[in-house]
Amino acid sequence: MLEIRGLGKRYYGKLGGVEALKDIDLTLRQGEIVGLFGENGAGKTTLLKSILGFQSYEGKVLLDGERIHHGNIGRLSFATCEHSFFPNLTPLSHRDFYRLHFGTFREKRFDTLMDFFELPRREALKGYSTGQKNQFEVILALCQGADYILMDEPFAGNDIFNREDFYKMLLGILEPQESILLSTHLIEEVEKIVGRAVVLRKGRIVGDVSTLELQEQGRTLTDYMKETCGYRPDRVSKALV
Amino acid sequence: MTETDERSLCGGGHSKQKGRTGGKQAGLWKPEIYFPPGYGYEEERNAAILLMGLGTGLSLLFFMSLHQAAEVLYEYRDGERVLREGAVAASFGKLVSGHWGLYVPLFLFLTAMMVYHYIYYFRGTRSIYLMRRLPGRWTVLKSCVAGPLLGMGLAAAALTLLYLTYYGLYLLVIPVGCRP
Repeated sequence: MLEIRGLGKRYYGKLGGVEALKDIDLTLRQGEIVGLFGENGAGKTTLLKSILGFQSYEGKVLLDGERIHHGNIGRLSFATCEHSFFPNLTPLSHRDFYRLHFGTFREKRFDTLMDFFELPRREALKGYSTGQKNQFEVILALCQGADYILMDEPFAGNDIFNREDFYKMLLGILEPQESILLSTHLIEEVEKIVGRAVVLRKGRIVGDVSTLELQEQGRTLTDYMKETCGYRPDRVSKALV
Repeated sequence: MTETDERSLCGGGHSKQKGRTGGKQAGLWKPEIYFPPGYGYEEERNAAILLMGLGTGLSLLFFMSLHQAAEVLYEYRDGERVLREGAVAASFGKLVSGHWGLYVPLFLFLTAMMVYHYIYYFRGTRSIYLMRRLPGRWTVLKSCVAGPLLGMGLAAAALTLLYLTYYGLYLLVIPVGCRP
């Protein structure tokens, strides 16, 4: 279980401190697929990077009761739209690198996904298209053998068909103990694959709901987002008058 | 610096989970294991070799200093080369100093490369995110400093060897009674 307790993050600049995250309490259980939603600047990326320890924060992030350290960080993987692979290496070199550093690396899954997306194995990643780079980034995150897979806008730049394929593939290959925390703006697309939606607004969690609950209420995730984020539909018409 | 494909895979680190060293996996003699993964180390290596060569070349001027120091100890009497009475040669330290100047840029260059290796993880992608998630606690640090430290070690060994050789020559050339 991944637990986030009282997480806060403040950035300091010339104009003083900006509170990027405040009092975040969130629990991610094994096997859950959780969507992390929110407007730009809501704190989604900051939250994911804090969980991974890429930046300092207040509060606690616990993995099965233990703080994240080098001994257990291998249970977390990360796919980001900024990409975290080595652009000069080929996929095969990445496979060897992951195999060397992560004892849990899923080689069979790696081969399956590489074949499915028809990605060239011997070409340096800097030669890939943006879509292919995104695919490879996600492949690495899925194949590391982590229990908790964190994704930050992993499909930015991929076409709709590509994304559809990925969603289907994702649901097909995930094992019961694997959990995903997926940050994205593609709410309608991921509505079918996430079991739970967490909404961030101005650094705070303003909504946490299961998609099943929403379905029972006859509401969509977009409706829920609009409510929790205080969306004003008349804003545009007022501005245009 | 250029980065080329199919370079180092280990980044100087090793997996605790697997309990085997990157060195054993890739071979300790392979230069790429001392650099960040995918890093084109050839230019850096060549620049270091050039600086080391220049440093060693400059140090060879010691021979000239030694020759001059030895020459002043002697005089010619009736065409015969004899030791001047009470002549004292310059100390070894004095003769050898000033001939190592080009090793300083080498050490500075290698220090700068440690920083550059870290910056490398932010170029093109944010591979630092992967490096920081590796189970090996010191993997990032090792990948940044291993190559330059190896270079510094080799330079220090070369310096020591040259120093000892020059000192041996000094003892050989300067008579015992003329040493300060």
